[in-house]
Amino acid sequence: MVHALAVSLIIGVLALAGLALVAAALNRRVGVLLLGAAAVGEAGLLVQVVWAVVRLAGGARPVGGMAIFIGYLAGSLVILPIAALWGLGERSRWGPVVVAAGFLVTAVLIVRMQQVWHG
Amino acid sequence: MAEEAARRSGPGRVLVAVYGVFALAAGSRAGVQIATRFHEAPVAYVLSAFAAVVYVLATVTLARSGRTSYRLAVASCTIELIGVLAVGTYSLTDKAAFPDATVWSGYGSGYGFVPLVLPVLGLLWLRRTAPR
Repeated sequence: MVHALAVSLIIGVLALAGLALVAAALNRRVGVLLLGAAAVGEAGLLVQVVWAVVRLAGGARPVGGMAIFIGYLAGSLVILPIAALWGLGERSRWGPVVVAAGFLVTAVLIVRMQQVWHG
Repeated sequence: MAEEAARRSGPGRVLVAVYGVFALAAGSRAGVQIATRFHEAPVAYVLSAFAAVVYVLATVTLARSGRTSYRLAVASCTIELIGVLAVGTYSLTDKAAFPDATVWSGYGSGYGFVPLVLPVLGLLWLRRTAPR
């Protein structure tokens, strides 16, 4: 997997997690801003999935195991939409905290994906 | 039943979300371990699966209202706390029994110690939202 993409994604989702935490600190609810942030994060993850599929189709194999890598890849796509919906359902500052948690988990997933890819 | 509805709102909302992540993480890990190399460390992998079941139970019962859910949530958080302390200690003293980590190994060090903190926060939250 291209390392620069993963690093940018990790920095990006961490920044978005920070944004969500600022929203929580300002006592905001989940609104257009954070839903947009989740959408941007999800778009970045989709790019990563496309890239991984292209690499896998080209014969590259994750050192740490194919099944585990596919699991992380699929998992990376479901976290943010679920976090956004679950956070949207909470009409208080704790909604943005849920979204922030989603971004943080996503960052961890990307790191783990890198570890599995490189072995 | 204001307390009842409050269990999954506010901080409870975050708690359910994080529990959901751990249910997913522990479940996937146990699934892969048991499916691909069960014979290597059956005890550790059965414990992984057990941890996954407890996380799923905690996630569902924290999210649901009702007295039974409340009791089950308390029970699952308590089992988790005992589990992470017992497995954490055991994994440090007898490394041979745990060649491959579970969520609870090393007190959850592989998961940023969240497995150790989570049941404590869960029990505190349940105490605050206890039905009368």
